[in-house]
Amino acid sequence: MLRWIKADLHVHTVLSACAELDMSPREIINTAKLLGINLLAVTDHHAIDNVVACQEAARGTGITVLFGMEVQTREEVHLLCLFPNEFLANSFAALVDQHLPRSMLSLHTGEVQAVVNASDQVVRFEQRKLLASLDLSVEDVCNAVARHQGLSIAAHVDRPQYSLLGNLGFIPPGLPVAALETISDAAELHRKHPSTVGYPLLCSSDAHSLPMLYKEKYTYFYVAEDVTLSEISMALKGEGGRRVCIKTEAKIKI
Amino acid sequence: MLLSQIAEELKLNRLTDFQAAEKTVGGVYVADLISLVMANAKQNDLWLTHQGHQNIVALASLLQLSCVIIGGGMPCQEETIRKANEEKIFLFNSMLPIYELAGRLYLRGLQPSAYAEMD
Repeated sequence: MLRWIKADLHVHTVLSACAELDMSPREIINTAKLLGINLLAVTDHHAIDNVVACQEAARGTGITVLFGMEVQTREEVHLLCLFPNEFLANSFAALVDQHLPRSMLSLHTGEVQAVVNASDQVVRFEQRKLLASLDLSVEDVCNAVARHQGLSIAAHVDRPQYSLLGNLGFIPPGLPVAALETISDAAELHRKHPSTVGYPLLCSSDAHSLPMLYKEKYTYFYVAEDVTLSEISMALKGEGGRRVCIKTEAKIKI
Repeated sequence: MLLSQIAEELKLNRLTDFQAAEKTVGGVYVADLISLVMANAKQNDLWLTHQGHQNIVALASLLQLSCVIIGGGMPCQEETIRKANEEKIFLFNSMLPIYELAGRLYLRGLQPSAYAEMD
Protein backbone atom coordinates (compact mmCIF):
# COMPACT_ATOMS: atom_id res chain seq x y z
CA MET A 1 0.00 0.00 0.00
CA LEU A 2 1.27 3.46 -0.88
CA ARG A 3 1.30 6.38 1.58
CA TRP A 4 2.66 9.91 1.84
CA ILE A 5 5.87 10.37 3.80
CA LYS A 6 7.65 13.55 4.82
CA ALA A 7 11.30 13.70 3.85
CA ASP A 8 14.52 15.65 4.26
CA LEU A 9 17.22 14.34 1.94
CA HIS A 10 20.06 16.71 2.88
CA VAL A 11 21.21 16.58 6.49
CA HIS A 12 24.75 16.96 7.86
CA THR A 13 26.12 15.48 11.07
CA VAL A 14 29.08 16.29 13.31
CA LEU A 15 31.26 14.60 10.69
CA SER A 16 30.94 17.73 8.53
CA ALA A 17 33.35 20.37 9.81
CA CYS A 18 30.82 23.09 8.99
CA ALA A 19 28.06 21.47 11.08
CA GLU A 20 27.28 22.36 14.69
CA LEU A 21 28.05 19.87 17.44
CA ASP A 22 24.31 19.37 18.10
CA MET A 23 24.05 17.37 14.86
CA SER A 24 24.42 13.97 16.54
CA PRO A 25 22.41 10.86 15.61
CA ARG A 26 20.08 10.92 18.63
CA GLU A 27 19.44 14.65 18.40
CA ILE A 28 18.77 14.51 14.66
CA ILE A 29 16.39 11.56 15.02
CA ASN A 30 14.55 13.13 18.00
CA THR A 31 14.08 16.36 16.08
CA ALA A 32 12.94 14.51 12.95
CA LYS A 33 10.41 12.59 15.08
CA LEU A 34 9.11 15.85 16.51
CA LEU A 35 8.72 17.28 13.00
CA GLY A 36 6.97 14.18 11.68
CA ILE A 37 9.76 13.40 9.21
CA ASN A 38 9.74 9.76 8.07
CA LEU A 39 12.71 9.78 5.72
CA LEU A 40 16.17 11.29 6.10
CA ALA A 41 19.29 11.14 3.98
CA VAL A 42 22.47 11.77 5.94
CA THR A 43 24.78 13.59 3.56
CA ASP A 44 28.12 14.56 5.06
CA HIS A 45 30.87 15.96 2.87
CA HIS A 46 32.76 13.10 1.24
CA ALA A 47 32.02 10.62 4.04
CA ILE A 48 29.35 8.11 5.05
CA ASP A 49 30.76 7.09 8.44
CA ASN A 50 27.89 8.48 10.53
CA VAL A 51 25.03 7.01 8.50
CA VAL A 52 24.89 3.65 10.28
CA ALA A 53 24.85 5.37 13.70
CA CYS A 54 21.87 7.45 12.54
CA GLN A 55 20.13 4.31 11.25
CA GLU A 56 20.67 2.65 14.63
CA ALA A 57 19.40 5.72 16.47
CA ALA A 58 16.31 5.63 14.23
CA ARG A 59 15.49 1.99 15.01
CA GLY A 60 11.91 1.63 16.25
CA THR A 61 10.96 5.21 15.39
CA GLY A 62 9.58 4.50 11.92
CA ILE A 63 12.17 6.86 10.43
CA THR A 64 14.19 5.55 7.49
CA VAL A 65 17.75 6.84 7.05
CA LEU A 66 19.33 6.57 3.61
CA PHE A 67 23.03 6.34 2.79
CA GLY A 68 24.09 9.65 1.34
CA MET A 69 27.08 11.88 0.74
CA GLU A 70 27.49 15.45 -0.45
CA VAL A 71 30.18 15.62 -3.10
CA GLN A 72 32.06 18.70 -4.33
CA THR A 73 33.17 18.28 -7.93
CA ARG A 74 36.15 19.81 -9.69
CA GLU A 75 33.85 22.67 -10.80
CA GLU A 76 32.93 23.27 -7.11
CA VAL A 77 29.41 22.00 -7.76
CA HIS A 78 27.71 20.23 -4.86
CA LEU A 79 25.89 16.99 -5.62
CA LEU A 80 23.94 14.81 -3.22
CA CYS A 81 24.67 11.15 -3.86
CA LEU A 82 22.29 8.57 -2.42
CA PHE A 83 22.94 4.82 -2.33
CA PRO A 84 20.71 1.78 -1.84
CA ASN A 85 22.94 0.04 0.73
CA GLU A 86 26.07 0.18 2.85
CA PHE A 87 28.15 -1.94 0.49
CA LEU A 88 27.61 0.33 -2.52
CA ALA A 89 27.96 3.48 -0.38
CA ASN A 90 31.28 2.17 0.99
CA SER A 91 32.53 1.33 -2.44
CA PHE A 92 31.68 4.86 -3.64
CA ALA A 93 33.32 6.36 -0.52
CA ALA A 94 36.53 4.47 -1.37
CA LEU A 95 36.47 5.98 -4.85
CA VAL A 96 35.92 9.46 -3.41
CA ASP A 97 38.87 8.94 -1.05
CA GLN A 98 41.15 8.31 -4.04
CA HIS A 99 40.08 11.63 -5.57
CA LEU A 100 40.32 13.86 -2.49
CA PRO A 101 43.31 16.22 -2.71
CA ARG A 102 46.13 15.21 -0.36
CA SER A 103 47.80 18.58 -0.31
CA MET A 104 45.21 20.27 1.88
CA LEU A 105 45.20 17.84 4.74
CA SER A 106 45.08 20.07 7.77
CA LEU A 107 41.89 21.24 9.40
CA HIS A 108 41.55 24.79 10.66
CA THR A 109 41.73 25.37 14.41
CA GLY A 110 38.37 24.56 15.96
CA GLU A 111 37.13 22.47 13.06
CA VAL A 112 35.82 19.11 14.21
CA GLN A 113 34.92 16.08 12.12
CA ALA A 114 33.63 13.46 14.52
CA VAL A 115 32.61 9.89 13.76
CA VAL A 116 30.05 8.97 16.42
CA ASN A 117 27.94 6.00 17.50
CA ALA A 118 24.18 5.73 17.95
CA SER A 119 24.55 6.88 21.59
CA ASP A 120 26.17 10.14 20.48
CA GLN A 121 29.62 9.09 21.72
CA VAL A 122 32.68 10.02 19.69
CA VAL A 123 34.31 6.96 18.15
CA ARG A 124 37.15 8.84 16.45
CA PHE A 125 38.02 12.16 14.89
CA GLU A 126 38.41 12.18 11.14
CA GLN A 127 41.80 13.68 10.30
CA ARG A 128 41.51 13.99 6.51
CA LYS A 129 40.10 17.37 5.56
CA LEU A 130 36.89 16.21 3.96
CA LEU A 131 35.64 19.40 2.36
CA ALA A 132 37.66 20.09 -0.79
CA SER A 133 37.00 19.63 -4.50
CA LEU A 134 37.49 16.14 -5.89
CA ASP A 135 39.46 15.90 -9.10
CA LEU A 136 36.32 14.57 -10.80
CA SER A 137 33.90 16.47 -13.02
CA VAL A 138 30.14 16.68 -12.49
CA GLU A 139 29.71 14.04 -15.22
CA ASP A 140 32.36 11.77 -13.65
CA VAL A 141 30.58 11.88 -10.29
CA CYS A 142 27.07 11.34 -11.72
CA ASN A 143 28.31 8.41 -13.79
CA ALA A 144 30.12 6.87 -10.80
CA VAL A 145 26.97 7.25 -8.68
CA ALA A 146 24.95 5.51 -11.41
CA ARG A 147 27.49 2.65 -11.49
CA HIS A 148 26.89 2.29 -7.75
CA GLN A 149 23.13 2.09 -8.36
CA GLY A 150 22.70 5.45 -6.66
CA LEU A 151 20.86 8.70 -7.35
CA SER A 152 22.50 12.07 -7.96
CA ILE A 153 20.66 15.20 -6.89
CA ALA A 154 21.96 18.67 -7.72
CA ALA A 155 22.20 20.42 -4.34
CA HIS A 156 20.83 23.92 -3.63
CA VAL A 157 20.72 24.88 -7.31
CA ASP A 158 19.56 28.43 -6.61
CA ARG A 159 22.66 29.38 -4.63
CA PRO A 160 25.13 31.51 -6.53
CA GLN A 161 28.04 29.35 -5.41
CA TYR A 162 28.69 25.63 -5.05
CA SER A 163 25.73 24.87 -7.28
CA LEU A 164 25.13 23.41 -10.70
CA LEU A 165 23.37 26.55 -11.97
CA GLY A 166 25.68 29.07 -10.28
CA ASN A 167 28.92 27.44 -11.38
CA LEU A 168 27.92 25.86 -14.68
CA GLY A 169 25.13 28.25 -15.67
CA PHE A 170 22.71 25.58 -16.80
CA ILE A 171 22.21 21.85 -16.55
CA PRO A 172 24.52 20.09 -19.02
CA PRO A 173 22.28 18.23 -21.50
CA GLY A 174 22.05 14.52 -20.76
CA LEU A 175 23.50 14.79 -17.26
CA PRO A 176 22.06 11.91 -15.21
CA VAL A 177 20.73 13.90 -12.24
CA ALA A 178 17.53 12.50 -10.76
CA ALA A 179 16.29 15.75 -9.21
CA LEU A 180 17.16 19.32 -8.29
CA GLU A 181 17.16 20.67 -4.75
CA THR A 182 15.75 24.17 -4.61
CA ILE A 183 14.02 26.63 -2.31
CA SER A 184 12.40 28.47 -5.24
CA ASP A 185 8.92 27.82 -6.60
CA ALA A 186 8.90 25.73 -9.76
CA ALA A 187 7.57 28.60 -11.90
CA GLU A 188 10.25 31.02 -10.69
CA LEU A 189 13.06 28.49 -11.18
CA HIS A 190 11.84 27.57 -14.68
CA ARG A 191 11.58 31.23 -15.69
CA LYS A 192 15.10 32.08 -14.50
CA HIS A 193 16.65 28.81 -15.66
CA PRO A 194 14.81 27.18 -18.58
CA SER A 195 17.22 24.22 -18.51
CA THR A 196 15.61 23.08 -15.24
CA VAL A 197 12.25 22.30 -16.88
CA GLY A 198 11.44 18.60 -16.70
CA TYR A 199 13.51 17.78 -13.61
CA PRO A 200 11.72 16.81 -10.40
CA LEU A 201 12.26 19.37 -7.62
CA LEU A 202 13.03 18.63 -3.99
CA CYS A 203 13.12 20.88 -0.95
CA SER A 204 15.59 19.80 1.71
CA SER A 205 17.12 21.54 4.70
CA ASP A 206 20.90 21.23 4.17
CA ALA A 207 20.77 21.38 7.96
CA HIS A 208 24.06 22.12 9.70
CA SER A 209 22.36 22.61 13.07
CA LEU A 210 19.16 21.30 14.69
CA PRO A 211 17.14 24.53 14.25
CA MET A 212 17.80 24.33 10.50
CA LEU A 213 15.69 21.15 10.36
CA TYR A 214 12.64 23.33 11.08
CA LYS A 215 11.36 24.66 7.75
CA GLU A 216 8.26 25.84 5.96
CA LYS A 217 8.61 23.69 2.86
CA TYR A 218 9.11 19.94 2.91
CA THR A 219 9.31 17.25 0.27
CA TYR A 220 6.67 14.52 0.43
CA PHE A 221 6.92 11.17 -1.33
CA TYR A 222 3.98 8.89 -2.12
CA VAL A 223 5.69 5.51 -1.78
CA ALA A 224 5.40 1.97 -0.36
CA GLU A 225 5.53 1.32 3.41
CA ASP A 226 9.02 -0.12 3.12
CA VAL A 227 10.88 2.99 1.98
CA THR A 228 13.91 2.19 -0.16
CA LEU A 229 15.99 4.20 -2.60
CA SER A 230 14.26 2.44 -5.49
CA GLU A 231 10.90 3.67 -4.16
CA ILE A 232 12.30 7.23 -4.13
CA SER A 233 13.68 6.75 -7.63
CA MET A 234 10.26 5.56 -8.84
CA ALA A 235 8.56 8.55 -7.18
CA LEU A 236 10.95 10.96 -8.92
CA LYS A 237 10.11 9.33 -12.26
CA GLY A 238 6.39 9.13 -11.42
CA GLU A 239 6.38 5.36 -11.91
CA GLY A 240 4.02 2.77 -10.42
CA GLY A 241 1.73 5.38 -8.88
CA ARG A 242 4.64 6.80 -6.83
CA ARG A 243 4.82 10.57 -6.67
CA VAL A 244 6.73 13.46 -5.17
CA CYS A 245 5.57 16.95 -4.19
CA ILE A 246 6.70 19.94 -2.16
CA LYS A 247 4.30 21.18 0.50
CA THR A 248 4.36 24.43 2.45
CA GLU A 249 3.22 24.20 6.04
CA ALA A 250 3.24 26.36 9.13
CA LYS A 251 6.72 26.36 10.59
CA ILE A 252 6.79 24.62 13.96
CA LYS A 253 8.00 26.98 16.68
CA ILE A 254 11.15 25.86 18.44
CA MET B 1 43.98 42.90 -30.95
CA LEU B 2 44.19 39.77 -33.10
CA LEU B 3 43.62 36.42 -31.44
CA SER B 4 46.55 34.81 -33.26
CA GLN B 5 48.85 37.52 -31.95
CA ILE B 6 47.65 37.00 -28.37
CA ALA B 7 48.03 33.23 -28.67
CA GLU B 8 51.60 33.62 -29.91
CA GLU B 9 52.73 36.28 -27.45
CA LEU B 10 51.24 34.52 -24.41
CA LYS B 11 52.45 31.12 -25.70
CA LEU B 12 48.96 29.67 -25.38
CA ASN B 13 48.39 26.04 -26.17
CA ARG B 14 45.59 25.70 -28.74
CA LEU B 15 43.23 22.84 -27.92
CA THR B 16 40.90 23.07 -30.91
CA ASP B 17 42.02 22.29 -34.46
CA PHE B 18 39.31 23.63 -36.79
CA GLN B 19 40.16 25.99 -39.64
CA ALA B 20 38.74 29.49 -39.25
CA ALA B 21 39.29 33.07 -40.23
CA GLU B 22 41.27 35.45 -38.03
CA LYS B 23 39.44 36.80 -34.98
CA THR B 24 39.67 40.12 -33.19
CA VAL B 25 39.47 40.24 -29.42
CA GLY B 26 37.34 43.10 -28.10
CA GLY B 27 37.81 42.89 -24.34
CA VAL B 28 38.58 40.46 -21.56
CA TYR B 29 36.43 38.89 -18.88
CA VAL B 30 37.78 36.77 -16.02
CA ALA B 31 35.51 34.52 -13.90
CA ASP B 32 34.87 30.92 -12.96
CA LEU B 33 31.20 31.25 -12.08
CA ILE B 34 29.29 30.85 -15.33
CA SER B 35 26.36 32.81 -13.95
CA LEU B 36 28.69 35.83 -13.68
CA VAL B 37 30.03 35.39 -17.20
CA MET B 38 26.49 35.08 -18.50
CA ALA B 39 25.58 38.39 -16.90
CA ASN B 40 28.72 40.40 -17.72
CA ALA B 41 30.77 39.14 -20.65
CA LYS B 42 30.33 40.90 -24.01
CA GLN B 43 30.47 39.76 -27.60
CA ASN B 44 34.07 39.26 -28.87
CA ASP B 45 35.43 39.11 -25.32
CA LEU B 46 38.27 36.81 -24.45
CA TRP B 47 37.18 34.74 -21.45
CA LEU B 48 39.79 33.66 -18.94
CA THR B 49 38.73 30.89 -16.55
CA HIS B 50 39.75 27.82 -14.55
CA GLN B 51 36.72 25.90 -15.76
CA GLY B 52 37.23 23.08 -18.27
CA HIS B 53 33.66 21.87 -18.23
CA GLN B 54 31.73 21.52 -21.51
CA ASN B 55 29.27 24.26 -20.50
CA ILE B 56 31.99 26.86 -21.20
CA VAL B 57 31.64 26.09 -24.91
CA ALA B 58 27.88 26.47 -24.91
CA LEU B 59 28.21 29.80 -23.15
CA ALA B 60 31.01 31.08 -25.40
CA SER B 61 28.85 30.18 -28.38
CA LEU B 62 25.75 31.84 -26.92
CA LEU B 63 27.57 35.08 -26.08
CA GLN B 64 29.69 34.97 -29.26
CA LEU B 65 32.93 35.30 -27.32
CA SER B 66 36.15 35.38 -29.31
CA CYS B 67 37.79 32.57 -27.34
CA VAL B 68 38.15 30.81 -23.99
CA ILE B 69 41.49 30.37 -22.21
CA ILE B 70 41.70 27.79 -19.45
CA GLY B 71 44.47 29.05 -17.18
CA GLY B 72 46.37 27.83 -14.15
CA GLY B 73 47.12 24.45 -15.73
CA MET B 74 43.58 23.33 -15.00
CA PRO B 75 42.39 20.26 -16.89
CA CYS B 76 40.02 20.46 -19.84
CA GLN B 77 37.64 17.61 -20.52
CA GLU B 78 37.84 15.78 -23.86
CA GLU B 79 34.14 16.44 -24.35
CA THR B 80 34.76 20.18 -24.03
CA ILE B 81 37.37 20.12 -26.81
CA ARG B 82 35.11 18.02 -29.03
CA LYS B 83 32.22 20.45 -28.56
CA ALA B 84 34.49 23.47 -29.15
CA ASN B 85 35.62 21.99 -32.47
CA GLU B 86 31.99 21.35 -33.39
CA GLU B 87 30.85 24.86 -32.48
CA LYS B 88 34.03 26.49 -33.80
CA ILE B 89 34.94 28.11 -30.49
CA PHE B 90 38.64 28.85 -30.07
CA LEU B 91 39.87 27.06 -26.95
CA PHE B 92 43.31 27.45 -25.40
CA ASN B 93 45.00 26.42 -22.19
CA SER B 94 48.05 27.62 -20.32
CA MET B 95 50.12 26.61 -17.31
CA LEU B 96 50.36 30.29 -16.31
CA PRO B 97 48.18 31.40 -13.37
CA ILE B 98 45.24 33.47 -14.56
CA TYR B 99 46.51 36.55 -12.71
CA GLU B 100 49.65 36.35 -14.85
CA LEU B 101 47.62 35.81 -18.03
CA ALA B 102 45.29 38.70 -17.18
CA GLY B 103 48.28 40.94 -16.42
CA ARG B 104 49.96 40.15 -19.73
CA LEU B 105 46.71 40.89 -21.59
CA TYR B 106 46.29 44.17 -19.72
CA LEU B 107 49.86 45.20 -20.55
CA ARG B 108 49.04 44.67 -24.21
CA GLY B 109 46.28 47.23 -23.96
CA LEU B 110 43.26 44.97 -23.61
CA GLN B 111 40.79 46.73 -21.37
CA PRO B 112 38.28 45.10 -19.03
CA SER B 113 35.03 44.23 -20.77
CA ALA B 114 32.75 46.54 -18.78
CA TYR B 115 34.97 49.19 -17.27
CA ALA B 116 33.33 51.24 -14.56
CA GLU B 117 34.82 54.08 -12.55
CA MET B 118 35.05 52.66 -9.05
CA ASP B 119 36.53 55.66 -7.25
